[in-house]
Amino acid sequence: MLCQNCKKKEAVVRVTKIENGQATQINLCKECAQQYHNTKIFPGLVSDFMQALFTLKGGPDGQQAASRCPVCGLTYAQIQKAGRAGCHHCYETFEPQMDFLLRRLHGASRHVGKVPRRGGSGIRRQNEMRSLKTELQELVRREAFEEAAVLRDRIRSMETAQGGEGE
Amino acid sequence: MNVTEVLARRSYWLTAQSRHPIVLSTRVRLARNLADRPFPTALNSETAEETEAEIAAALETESAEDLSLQYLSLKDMDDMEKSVLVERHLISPALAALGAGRGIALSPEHRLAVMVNEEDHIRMQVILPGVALQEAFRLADQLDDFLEAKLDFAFQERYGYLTSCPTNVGTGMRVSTMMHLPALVMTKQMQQVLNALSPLGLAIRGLYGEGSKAWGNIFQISNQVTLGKSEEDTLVNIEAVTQQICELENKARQMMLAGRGALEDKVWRARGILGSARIMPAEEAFRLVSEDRLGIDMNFLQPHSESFAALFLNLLPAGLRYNSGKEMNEEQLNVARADYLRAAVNGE
Repeated sequence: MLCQNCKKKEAVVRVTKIENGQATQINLCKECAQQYHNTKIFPGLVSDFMQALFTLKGGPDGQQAASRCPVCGLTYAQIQKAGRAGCHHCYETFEPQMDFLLRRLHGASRHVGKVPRRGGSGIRRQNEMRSLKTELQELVRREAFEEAAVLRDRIRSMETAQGGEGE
Repeated sequence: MNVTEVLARRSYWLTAQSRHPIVLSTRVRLARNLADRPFPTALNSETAEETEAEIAAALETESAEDLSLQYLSLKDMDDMEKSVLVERHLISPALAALGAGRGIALSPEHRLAVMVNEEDHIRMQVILPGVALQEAFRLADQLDDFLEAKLDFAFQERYGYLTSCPTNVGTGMRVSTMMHLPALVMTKQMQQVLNALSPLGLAIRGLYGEGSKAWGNIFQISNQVTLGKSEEDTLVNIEAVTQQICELENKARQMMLAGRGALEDKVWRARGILGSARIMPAEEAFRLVSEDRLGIDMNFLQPHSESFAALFLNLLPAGLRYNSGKEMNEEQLNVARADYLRAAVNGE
């Protein structure tokens, strides 16, 4: 079937759009699907785009990826096809591809939020330190120097308490 | 306690009459995976059962009353029981369709439901009536802490909790509210709502109906982004948007009062048909129940004893079949549905 947008290339993605309770389906080629995604015309259709996203241009070349995940044995091509990783090691094994994909999906590639308590205390502390430093920059930017000085001393004492292991 | 007993219990979010005229329920879901096993899609039936046993043991550990859970393996259920769990939002259709090594843990009033070996090893879900985002999250977070003490979860500093599908990586948290938006649909303003949500990384979808239609004007709003946004930010975001949509819906309801006579006629007709019809197809039932509820919200009609959410769920095929204890074809279902609705509306 031809792409219903450009009417030139073969359609590879079917997009369902729901408006006023009415669904319409459009078949798009890779390029047009990519364009639609960039302009964010279809909110909330992330999962429908999974496959298209996995094969997007501009990302690292999947062919150059490590051939198989050493733990679950999946190839990147298999992950692309299923739209699912085989195990959590896939995220490391195919790091450049997965990172590109995560940025596309979430507009970010760094976790913010809960950290498991077990084994997580170091990460927790680093995260806390990171947010305090951001806060400090903001205070300086607003020229709230008195508050900034208090916060700076707090950060210093935290770093000393941790044996100077701050960033 | 066996499956039948669990299904006989009614979920708290269904029995509690939500005082909220628009928001039926709030749901928070956390996805977690074990660090030392492949994701469920990569498990064979043997390793899936091993994983199931490990998680079930952790889930059934003695715990505080709020978190006490009963584990039920899907292998002990027939197809009808699975369909009932799906209709009640306690398991996903995907889980019901999967093979060996799958199951669900439920708390006594089904506030907590934990799916085992669906797309991720663990998907814990809290459903509460009305708007209760913080409360729902607190409960899910408590359960997460409780399980984390027993199981080693796949977590990376950079990407957070790692999940089978990259759309859940990060917090692994999906938050949603289920809303009844008849006035926005009737005044054709849903597109506006869609447009407003798109830049916020939120999705809205019709909850019931086949293919194209949002039966009963029931919509679910949920977050799409799980990486780079904290749990707290996501909760606040969904809460604010839910609030805004409620305001829009209320405005649309006020607008409809300009044509008061026509609106009053519509809701009374709905009540009349619900209270007297003998054959009721699902789509019509959803429309009428939605109009009837609008009439109650706007003080044209007296409320009835069944909660709004329960009314909807009891219209669905698996629930009707299960309650009658027998297999029914489409025509028989339409009759059973009409019988149920007459009884509910007439207070029999």
